[in-house]
This record gives sequence, structure tokens and C-alpha cells, in this order.
Amino acid sequence: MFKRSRLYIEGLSAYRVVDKLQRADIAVYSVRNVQKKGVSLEVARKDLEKVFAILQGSCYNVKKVQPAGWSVARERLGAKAGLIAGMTCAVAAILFAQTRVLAIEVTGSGAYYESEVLALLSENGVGWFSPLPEDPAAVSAAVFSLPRVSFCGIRNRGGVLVVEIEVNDEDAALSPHPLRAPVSGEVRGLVVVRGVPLVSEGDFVDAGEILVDCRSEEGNPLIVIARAEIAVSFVREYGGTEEEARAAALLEYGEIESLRTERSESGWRVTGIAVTVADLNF
Amino acid sequence: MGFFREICRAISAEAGAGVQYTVTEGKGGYFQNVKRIAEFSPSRIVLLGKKGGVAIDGTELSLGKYYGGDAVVCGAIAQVTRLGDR
Repeated sequence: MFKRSRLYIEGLSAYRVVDKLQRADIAVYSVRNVQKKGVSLEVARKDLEKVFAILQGSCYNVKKVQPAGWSVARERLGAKAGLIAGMTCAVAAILFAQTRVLAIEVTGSGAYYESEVLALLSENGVGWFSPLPEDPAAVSAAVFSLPRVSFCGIRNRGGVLVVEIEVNDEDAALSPHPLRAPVSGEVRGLVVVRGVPLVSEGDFVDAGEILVDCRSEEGNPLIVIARAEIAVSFVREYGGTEEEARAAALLEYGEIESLRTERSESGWRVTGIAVTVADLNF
Repeated sequence: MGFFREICRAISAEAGAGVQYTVTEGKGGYFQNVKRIAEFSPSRIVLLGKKGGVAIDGTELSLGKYYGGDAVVCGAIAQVTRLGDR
């Protein structure tokens, strides 16, 4: 059945061919009358040459030879080799694309961190058509460093890298507000995660001045996530002992650089540079 | 017993040279000691042995396999008639 050929033999009393072949020790299968003067039969492919040799010079015509059994499938597959090759390449391409990042989606309540997440992914070698991240935990850890992030999940969904971020909503509801300077002084440090910075480190600002704006260049509202350190020099007099004066100054100004004390008429004069921190949604 | 054995021996001696067959009703049949095919059509197949032969009548008859004197007849066999000595 696996390696046979079907022959159509024409001639008067064509069925006598079957006897001829049988006498020549050739097995004959599926002998049928297909027309008045013809029969169809199957022989093993290895006997085909023998069959033609026996029928040569006889009054019988071998009209058609076709593969039979599994040979049919093999012949048809051979005729459609291009189609099969194309289908194989398509399947291989699909399987390969499954291992690549075709798109990145940032979802969840922290979806506004999209640009920051894309930057973090890029730092970890993840971008369009790059391999999927080998260590998603490393990327998740970087995302967790963003302010107020309470959950970060990274999963692959058919070539789309989905980054789900949830933020902590225990604080007041986010609304677009600018970050303003609480005091007048020099901007010592400025970290802007989101927002439009209007000042730089080293600038002198007045109290109430906008440090980071909540409006984009196009005028769209932004949730400002920023932190600023402003240094201001002060001179203050306190009563009591020197230690009490120092303590009172620290209590009042918080972090103080270059703290100095000197005796004055009313007590102690404390000088230094106070560093005030202002942050919004940080 | 001796008479029975003699009859069997006589039957075997006669049958050994002729076409022997087993037929399954409506399915087909297996024929042994076939020397040649005398007639072949979808409704009638005549198989000849060394002595005598059989005529197979039915519908959609075909030869499933024919090799080494054994023939498998496929189709709905309605009747098998034994033919006389040639």
C-alpha cells in the first residue's frame, strides 16, 4: 500500500494481463474493470519495470501510470513544495516573533509613568523587537524606585510586553499643581520625575515662585512629581546656653549646613545655611 | 471410520486440484489454487484451477489481490458456482 503504482491497461480482454503478471511472480492488487476494454490495477513500484518489460510487445497499452497509496501523498507534497516551504517559514516566523517584544503597554493606575518605564526598559536592553527581558525582576525593582509605586507586574502577552503599575492612593488625590518654593534661597537640588522644571540648580528663587510647572508646552495638565532642595542663609539669636541655642535652631530650620554660634548681648547668635526640602507627590 | 476416511481422502484428492474458496456473505471471498482468470467484469468473475473452476456472480466485483495462485475477490458476492472439469 505504501509504495504502489496504479496502471490503466487497455486492450481486448485486458484482464488477461493479470494472469501474465501473476505468472511472472508479480503481486497484483485492486484489479477493477474501469471501461469495456480496460482494467486498472496496482503493483508495487519496485515491480514497475518488470511490468513494462512483460507488456512490451504485447497487444496491451499501458495508458496511464499514477502513484497509489502513500505515494500519492508524497507526489502531491512534492508538487506543492513551495507552498509547504512558505507555510513552514510563516510558522517559524510566528514562533520567532513570539520571543520578541513587538509592543510595550503600560497599564494600571500608574500608567502615567509610561515614559519613565520606557526609559527604564531601554536601560535594561528592552525595546522594540528586542528579546523578552531575561530577568523581569530587575526591571520591576527599577520601577518600584519610582515614587508611590506599590505594585509592578511584567508579563508577555503574545509579543506585547505589558507592564502593570499600581500606585499608592493613600495620599490626597492627585491633581495638577505646580511645585513652589517654600522659602527664598538658592536651589541646591532638583529632581523632577514629572512636570516642567522652570529653574535649575544654582538659581536663586523667591518664596512662592514656581519651581516645576504642571502644564506642558502644549498646555496639557501634568501631575507634578518633583523634589527640590533650597538653601537659605540665616542669622538668628537664641537665649539660654549654647547647646540650647543650637538645638532651637535645628528645631526651627531642620537640616543646617555650616552651623556657627557666637555669644551676643541677648544670648547666642546662630548662623548657618538651612536646607529646606519641598516635594510634591514624591 | 475407515469408510469416512476413504471418502475424505477421495474428496481431498479431487479438491486439491480445483479452486478452493471461502466466502463471507456480502463482503468478498478468498480463492486458492487459481491458475487463470477466464472472465472478469463487475458482475461476474470466472476463476479456473488445474481442474475445473468457479464462477462468481455479484455486484461491484474486483480483485483485491492476486498472487501465487491466491485471489481475493472484493464486492458483494451473490453466488459461487462450481464449474466442471476443463
